Amino acid sequence: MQERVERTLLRGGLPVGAVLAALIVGGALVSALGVSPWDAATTVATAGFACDPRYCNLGGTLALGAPIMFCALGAVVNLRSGLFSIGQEGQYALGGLAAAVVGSAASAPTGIHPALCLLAAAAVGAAWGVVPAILKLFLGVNELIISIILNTMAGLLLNYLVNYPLRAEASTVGYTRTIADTAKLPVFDPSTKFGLAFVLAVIACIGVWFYLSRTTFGYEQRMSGEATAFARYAGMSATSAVLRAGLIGGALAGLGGGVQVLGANYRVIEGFSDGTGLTGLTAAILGGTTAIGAGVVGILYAGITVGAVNGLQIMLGVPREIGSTVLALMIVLVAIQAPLQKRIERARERRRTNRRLDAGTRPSTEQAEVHA
Amino acid sequence: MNVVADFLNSGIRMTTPILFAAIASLISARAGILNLAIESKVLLGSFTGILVAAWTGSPLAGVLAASLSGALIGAIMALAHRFEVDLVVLAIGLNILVLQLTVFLMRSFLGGVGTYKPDVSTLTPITVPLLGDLPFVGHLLNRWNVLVYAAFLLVGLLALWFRTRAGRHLLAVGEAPGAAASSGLPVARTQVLALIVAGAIAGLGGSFLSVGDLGMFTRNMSADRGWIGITAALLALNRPGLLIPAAGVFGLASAASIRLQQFDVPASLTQFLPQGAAFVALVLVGLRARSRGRFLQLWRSSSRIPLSRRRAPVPVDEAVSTTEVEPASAATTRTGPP
Repeated sequence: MQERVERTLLRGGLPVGAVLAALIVGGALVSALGVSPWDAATTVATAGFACDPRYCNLGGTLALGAPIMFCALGAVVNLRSGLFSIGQEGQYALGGLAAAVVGSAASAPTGIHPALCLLAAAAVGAAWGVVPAILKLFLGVNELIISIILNTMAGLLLNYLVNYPLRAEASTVGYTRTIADTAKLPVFDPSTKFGLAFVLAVIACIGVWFYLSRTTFGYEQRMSGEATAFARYAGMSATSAVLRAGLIGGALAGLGGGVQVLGANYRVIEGFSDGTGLTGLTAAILGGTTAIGAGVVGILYAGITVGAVNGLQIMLGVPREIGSTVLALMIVLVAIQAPLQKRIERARERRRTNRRLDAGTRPSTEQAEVHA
Repeated sequence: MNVVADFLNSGIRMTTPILFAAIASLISARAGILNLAIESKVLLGSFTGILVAAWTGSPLAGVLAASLSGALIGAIMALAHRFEVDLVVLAIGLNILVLQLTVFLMRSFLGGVGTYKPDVSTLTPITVPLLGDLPFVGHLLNRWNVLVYAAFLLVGLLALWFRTRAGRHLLAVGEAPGAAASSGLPVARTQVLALIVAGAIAGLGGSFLSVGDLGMFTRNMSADRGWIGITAALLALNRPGLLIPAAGVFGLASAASIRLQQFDVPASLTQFLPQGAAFVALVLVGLRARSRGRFLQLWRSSSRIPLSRRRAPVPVDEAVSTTEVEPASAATTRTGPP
């Protein structure tokens, strides 16, 4: 009983310790700017998560959370299936662009238009996301490095398209035409753009969880990622699992770009690929590459980002990059604590066995001495 | 004629940071470690380099500091490797951390939003006494500083060093750590040193960008050069002899992309050249089964994330037939007795 409590404390304690250590470093950075870390923390919390009737900050967080969650889910599907692609950034960018094009060029009734746009976003995201999977399977290319190259290429392609063929009107920064009113996703709170996009993200979150842990396809995919040898032995096709991972992951990240355009931006500006996909990847890793974990961390991440921009940068004058710095530090520290935890557990196990062995052998030696 | 010389000149200048990154990747790979954090080392190197150069007024001090900062990340990775930390996840975290931290520090302490341009002189170009006066060579050698020569010299030194006793030991550690350990080589110490040296070299590449060339720091200054360096090392099959041509491809592609912008081709299109070269290079590396196998081996020694593969080491037919035979034989034994 006591051992079990100690073990749970250890298992939960080290990751929490890693997160706290990252927060302490963040606090130190903030206090180096002459701002009290406590003030900074409360500012982030209120600017990111508070909600009062006049202006609901939480709404802004949830609105920003939607694209991040979609990208995080895309990353989860990829990482869990043995496809280490981190190309969510590019899929997000091109998905958003596809939604903007369909939203402004095509015309359709109110209910159908957003669905068409999202379909285009998912299709383009899937097409871009399946590239690393195909290259990996049929040409043996490492997907991690190629997906970074593909991210840069998508960013360049977006900047070119937005500046030349799809440019709306003469302006200093290139952007596409605004999407038609019929294509906009319904918004519950106009001031923060909190709306249907977030609901879709939550549905996607549950959908990915269900797919990965409750369906045969999802099971095959997880097994080809987690237990490669077993999957092969059981006759599951790694090829189709990895292809599915590329398609589904890409479609999810593409949808992220789609909801961002249809729900908040209403057009694509040069530099649309601003790190949302990377943020999603970070959330997926910190969320333990599970669908629900990635969703929750995605919302937290959005809150910290909103808090860092609206709270720290605007109110206290601390650059907003502090938020992403602390979160990246969390990845580093959480990665470092994982094997430490294993080591400590192994050492405790050894000590316990020794103690038991000592307890078992000592009486017999004493008896032997008595007999002698 | 001078146009060609100028083109080669800028191509070789653009090769320099990529070459430094490629050397760093090569040393880590040959020591048996997959080093994906080179991007962060290059970026931190260029940040620290310009900062220290502005602070001390000496560009050389900046270069030294850049190399130390790269070595620091290398040391962190080495320490993490000894504790069996997943180096792939750690590297992703480090890359994002350095990208965000440098922007944060620049905005909060150096007053710049997107760039930091202190009043500091860059490394002085080396003037070669006699060759510099020749028509073609003069244009070719123009604006090269000590780091350009250092990068190319380092490749030669590395090739020589791999033929010495200590170099062979490093190769042995990377090739077969178990065998190396059983013959008394200090595997862990060799890998730690290799990672630290690789970090220092990647940091030098970063300092070339800021102190060596432009005299300023911009957000995400490394701009994928670390990743392209890793690609170049892969393309060179991790052999020093092929490293200069492999890195040169990307350097010349970058130079060509800048050249093309003079003809009113948009920058977002011309920049496809180096990225496209990297794409093709990765496909070529993947097509070569042996280098793919080497890379997978590196991945497995540095990360616990399994990568699913299509081709099974055990022929699939055999695996299927054994699973089918077992129940069949069990059925016969069960029906046998009565």
